[in-house]
Amino acid sequence: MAIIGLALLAAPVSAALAEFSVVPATPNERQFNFTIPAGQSLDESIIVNNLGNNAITVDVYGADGTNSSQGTFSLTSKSHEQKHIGTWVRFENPTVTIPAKQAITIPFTISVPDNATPGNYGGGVAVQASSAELKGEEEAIGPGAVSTSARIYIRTFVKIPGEKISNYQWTAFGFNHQDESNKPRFFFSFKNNGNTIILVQPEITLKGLPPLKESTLTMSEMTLQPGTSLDNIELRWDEQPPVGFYFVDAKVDFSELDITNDQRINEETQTRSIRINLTPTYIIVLTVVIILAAILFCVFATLSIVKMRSGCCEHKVLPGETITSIAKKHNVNWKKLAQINKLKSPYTLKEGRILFVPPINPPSKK
Amino acid sequence: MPIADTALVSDTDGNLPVERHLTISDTRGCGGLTLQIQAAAFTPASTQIIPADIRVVTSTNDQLNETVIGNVEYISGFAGDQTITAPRSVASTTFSDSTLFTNAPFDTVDNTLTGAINLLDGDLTAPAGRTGQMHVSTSFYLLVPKLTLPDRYYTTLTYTLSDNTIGVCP
Repeated sequence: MAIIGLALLAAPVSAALAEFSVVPATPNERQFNFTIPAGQSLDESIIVNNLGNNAITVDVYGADGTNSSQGTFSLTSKSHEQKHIGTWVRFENPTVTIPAKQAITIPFTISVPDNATPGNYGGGVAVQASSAELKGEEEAIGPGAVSTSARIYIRTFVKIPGEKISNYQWTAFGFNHQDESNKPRFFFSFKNNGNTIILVQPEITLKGLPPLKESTLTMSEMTLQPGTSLDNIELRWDEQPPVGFYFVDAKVDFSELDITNDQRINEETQTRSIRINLTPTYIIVLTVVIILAAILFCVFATLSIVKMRSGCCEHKVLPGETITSIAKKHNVNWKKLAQINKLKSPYTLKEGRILFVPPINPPSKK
Repeated sequence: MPIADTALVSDTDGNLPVERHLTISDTRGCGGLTLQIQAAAFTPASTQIIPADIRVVTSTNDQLNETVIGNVEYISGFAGDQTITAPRSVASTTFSDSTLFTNAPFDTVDNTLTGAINLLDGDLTAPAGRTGQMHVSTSFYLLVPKLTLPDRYYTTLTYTLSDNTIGVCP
């Protein structure tokens, strides 16, 4: 029989060794898909195979599905308060000992209460290496005071026939600023107020001004259980984009999971856009300082020119005149004449050009 | 024993766990899988020491000398799809810088145990599959907030393996 086996090799502080696999008793099944009207029950079984050289004691139980921190399908912990599948699944013996190298079939019953709300529910039937050996004993846990446990579960979906309510929302999308590595971080939030399981797959496209290239990042598909929300699911860009301003297009593909055949139905795409600035603050500040300095320089230079030209006369350049001949004619320093009129070597003058002639140098007193 | 006012405490003194690793075996030949980890609330109950203070990274143990692809170690004899990703993996084989545990050498994910997080993402669309064994090592850091009341705190880390197949296998 083809199986998944999980072997957890001995951690430094635990003597427990568990190698086991779990499959549905029905051959070739990978998950349980039940349609059970309210008030009815159904019997099923799992097969647990002890692959190790020692007998193991395991806990068997049902648990509600939930969303992981990244929005993927996950199972609530054994100690978590159960609300649906976790309370509907019942094993006659919740703790089972399996001899070494043997597989046993463990039956269970899934009973849907009379007052259960119609809809689709996700969860799992779990087999967990017994906590009996790992409870609170100092010598078993060790100085770290952290114990480990291993479990394998079969995804379980239950459909309770009745009115289907599809009601989900894309509640938030934003830019979380860049982290220390200057990679932008975005966040999404979703809410499922209906009684169907919604699958969500976000995608972000960064579009910068040319020559910046467009790039797209797609997140893994997330599962939004009925009556739950995914808050601030973060997407970190996988590289540092060049500095600049970007248009950000967010696209989210929604679909409903038909648990009777594991198909996606009622697909819908929603989009949103924002603009972001990926220029580090210090560059912005530096740019502003440079621009201000340039403005101040121009203003100062202009004022200097104006000051130098105040009191000046005008001279129209005649054919054959040079800067030195004009300076001599007006008894002024040719360098100052060049400076006031912004002339540079070789000081070529065009006939008809108007030059500003500074005031005549006062004669020095003897 | 971790003490308050200590930023981060490693359970392996910042070194890779040489002999501690998880082995996942898949003999089905069709379908994918997911390996997750989650932490139970600490006992006695605390508002300072919480599961979100635990950070986890995965690594490939270079000492095993097996094929490493995408930070997952495939044991000799493995056949089939080798596209499993370890989103919380450190690329190097040694690390002693605790800052790795506070921020993102990980491209798109966080590594705190606020809830269940993926250690291995191995979803597949049928009929793609795998047969063989894979290794991944896990290492943990605990952030001990200042002013944490002195006590002996306990938690349980649960590794969870499940099928993750898109479509139906024959």
